[in-house]
Amino acid sequence: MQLLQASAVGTTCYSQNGKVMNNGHLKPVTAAELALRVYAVNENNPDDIKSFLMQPIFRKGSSKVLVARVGGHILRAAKDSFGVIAFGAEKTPFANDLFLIFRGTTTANKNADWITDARIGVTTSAKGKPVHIGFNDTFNSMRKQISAFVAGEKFSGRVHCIGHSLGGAVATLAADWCKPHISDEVILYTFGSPRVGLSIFSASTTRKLGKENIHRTFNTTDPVPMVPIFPYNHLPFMSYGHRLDSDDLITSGEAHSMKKYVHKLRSLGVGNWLGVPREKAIFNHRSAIDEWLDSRRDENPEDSRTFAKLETAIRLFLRQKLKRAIEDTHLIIMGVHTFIDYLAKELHRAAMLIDETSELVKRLMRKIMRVLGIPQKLLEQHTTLQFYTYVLRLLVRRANERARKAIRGI
Amino acid sequence: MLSGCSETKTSNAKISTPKQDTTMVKTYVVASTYKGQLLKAGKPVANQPLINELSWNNLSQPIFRQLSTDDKGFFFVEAYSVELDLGALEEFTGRSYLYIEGDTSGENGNPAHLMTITRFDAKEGEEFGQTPRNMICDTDTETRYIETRYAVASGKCSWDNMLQPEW
Repeated sequence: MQLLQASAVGTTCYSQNGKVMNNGHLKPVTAAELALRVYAVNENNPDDIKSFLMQPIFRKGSSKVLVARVGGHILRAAKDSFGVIAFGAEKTPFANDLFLIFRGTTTANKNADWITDARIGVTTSAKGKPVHIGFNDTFNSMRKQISAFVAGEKFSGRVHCIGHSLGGAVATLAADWCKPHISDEVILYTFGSPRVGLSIFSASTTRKLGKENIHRTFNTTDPVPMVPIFPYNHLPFMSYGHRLDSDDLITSGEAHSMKKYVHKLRSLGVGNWLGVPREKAIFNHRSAIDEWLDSRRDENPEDSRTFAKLETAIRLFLRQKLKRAIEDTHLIIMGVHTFIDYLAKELHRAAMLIDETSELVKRLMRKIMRVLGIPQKLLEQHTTLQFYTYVLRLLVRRANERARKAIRGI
Repeated sequence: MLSGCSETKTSNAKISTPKQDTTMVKTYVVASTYKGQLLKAGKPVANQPLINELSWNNLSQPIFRQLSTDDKGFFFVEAYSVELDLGALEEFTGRSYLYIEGDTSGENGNPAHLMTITRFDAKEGEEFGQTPRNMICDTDTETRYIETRYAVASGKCSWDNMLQPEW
């Protein structure tokens, strides 16, 4: 079969008869079904696990259930079946490939504190990059099992890392570790994944895997991909994930269900990732930010887009003020919560100057206060650093409360 | 076609977790309806008591429903649903096992399942794609994977309009 044309993303090619080939990538629906079905390994139930491993995509007798520690700094300490490692079956397009599939929330962490805790910590990943401490702990507790499984196998294929929700975050860390540790070709498929690390991690992992090998799919009203908030970043860095436009108008926990993801992808009826559009930029240029900051309309604090816009404006300030993005290494040392204090200090300092940045800061602060329902005239009366810190801390708390509320469906 | 089905509990339970600060009670289908014919070495097994074992998420004690094949070996599994208050981050996982009462031919003296279905939050019957046509479950058949949607299944049953893998 001759390849005639490479697509824009470089992963999907066309044969002479025009039929789309996936070039070794799982179809969107197949990846999504695997991310859903892996929930069957829950509770260590042997019958369910056996059924899951019997899927014809896996080589018989070459699979193992991965047990993770879902506890530690952020999560409640517990051990649970968390994923599956398996080789692809012969006589399938995935012969000699390796699958790493992780599931999401367990009984031990269903209260969602792992995702909305304002004190979420940063640590360094297996590859030395700044990532979420809870996700990292969970992945690290499975690393030895993965190494042991692959050791001694003649393996030269691709690695497919797949997961939903918390499983998506862990799959992201697995993909980063697997290349080149396990394979030179690693493909990542996540659904409703939270942000995993800071920009150094996101940029490095994107560069390493290649953005065409990162299939991060998100539903527009799923609250989980919106957290943890800035300074965490999504993959692919400076690019877009696959966007599924929700039928709902507001964010809700229901939109996070893996079944919803499968259903939506199935309804698209596409056989490859080109059929699942990557998110388009909607609010990332200076004029759009300026226009929004100056607008006098009321902002809905329940709308995730409001927070997304605030994040973008804060990033703009940091770029303008510091002439560079905030260095992640600083954030590892100081922690995300302290970063808010740092940001308050920088904003306050800039506001005291008389230049263009000062104006930007004042407009930004007014906007934040408007979102939080704080009378804007207070900004003229309270010019102290303490006030700036109070406003920013309240913003972070409100953002996390909003995510938690959506997740719990209040 | 329906044989004498009976069960130890009512068909639809209302089980809620203890009251929390939020309530998201929703109905989940643990098992869908299906009917089939029990065979042994290709011959119908008449009046055979069967057990349909049901559980979901971290329910500690499964629910057992007793049914039986009729004089031609046909059986009928009824749908079963529960009302649960799960957190929005927790996926529903419903398990339905069908096996011969008293069977110990499986691993470690456990029953060999005619059908094992683990289903997620899907509509009733959605896992089969279409209503299974001419389902037969032969006890002499090797257990194999059964392709489904929004579910994982295996067993000794097959039918005319079975789904095919999507990859």
